[in-house]
Amino acid sequence: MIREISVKGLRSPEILVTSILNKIKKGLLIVETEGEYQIKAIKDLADKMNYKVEVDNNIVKIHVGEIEASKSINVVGATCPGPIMIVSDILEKMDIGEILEIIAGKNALTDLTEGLKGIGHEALSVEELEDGNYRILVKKGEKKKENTTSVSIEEIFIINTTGTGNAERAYSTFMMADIALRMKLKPTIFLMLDGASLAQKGECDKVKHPAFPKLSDLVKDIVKKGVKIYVCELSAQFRGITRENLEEGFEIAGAPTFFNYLSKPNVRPVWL
Amino acid sequence: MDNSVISLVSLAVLFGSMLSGFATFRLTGMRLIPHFVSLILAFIFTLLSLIVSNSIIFYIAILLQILAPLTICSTICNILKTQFQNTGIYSAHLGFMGILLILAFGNLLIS
Repeated sequence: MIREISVKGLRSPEILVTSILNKIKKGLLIVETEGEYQIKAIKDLADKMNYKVEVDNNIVKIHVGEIEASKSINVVGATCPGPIMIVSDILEKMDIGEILEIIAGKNALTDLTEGLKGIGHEALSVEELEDGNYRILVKKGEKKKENTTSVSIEEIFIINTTGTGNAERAYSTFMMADIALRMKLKPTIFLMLDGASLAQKGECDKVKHPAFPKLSDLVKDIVKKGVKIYVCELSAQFRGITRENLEEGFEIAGAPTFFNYLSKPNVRPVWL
Repeated sequence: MDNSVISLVSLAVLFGSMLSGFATFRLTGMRLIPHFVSLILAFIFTLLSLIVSNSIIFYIAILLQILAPLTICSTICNILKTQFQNTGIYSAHLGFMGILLILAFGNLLIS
């Protein structure tokens, strides 16, 4: 059972949350909050009651026991775009609000959570299993409606397709991300085709222009600042880049992650 | 065949590869410096070997003509492995390096 409530405007949201939690025996309580002070109060309450809590922006998810899924699918071993296609086919046949349990490998984790969010479904929980795979619970949502209202650009999606073979573009990728951060824009970097070469361990150490710091120093700085750097799974495979020789702070992702970013109305892509 | 004719052809190849190499050097950055330096030195010594009749200069020129293609190996192997979408840009220079290597060995054997 999943219950969704809003505590916006309440001074003591924990009173309402407590009364609902006392009635729920199993399931998930999704609480829409106003901000930090409400999140803290609800988190403290859930911790006291020994419930698992997840916070995603202003949404607090409280897990009460196990959530029962309507269907289950195992996509371990499938590579991009396999997992998202298999899961999308199953979700297509399910009713809105039904829950699908997905067992997936780390390679498909970002694609599934980001990609499914992009097509209107909701990732309720992500749990790492003992064998290193992940259990993802997804609630089927309604298809996204087109929004024609104007939006302000809040995120920059920097796509590099040339790699270290073009030093100037490689420098630009990470410098632009840094500038975006300073301009209060959230940057995300996606490396594909030859751009995937930047993700190989030690590769950025070899690039140095006299007028700039070593490329690897820029990369480390950007990673430290929390910028997400995705590497296309297909391009990585073509170039023999695996988790073993992947640079620290980089994450392998696939087409669903790529398209999810490109389809966000508040994101502007920059091709390099 | 006269060694000076081969050296003249090598000089032409070296000059051509300096031009094609400059484009890739600008693109790839400083990691091609050892290759570019050896290429310039090979050009200077090949030119000198044509002007001055000195066997030491001649053998240094041959040595540099062999070394120049070798200094690009590690970089180009990596590029061919991970950045093969861009290999078209490097192909002219790679072609020149192949010709230069054969001319250098040929010049050495004929001398």
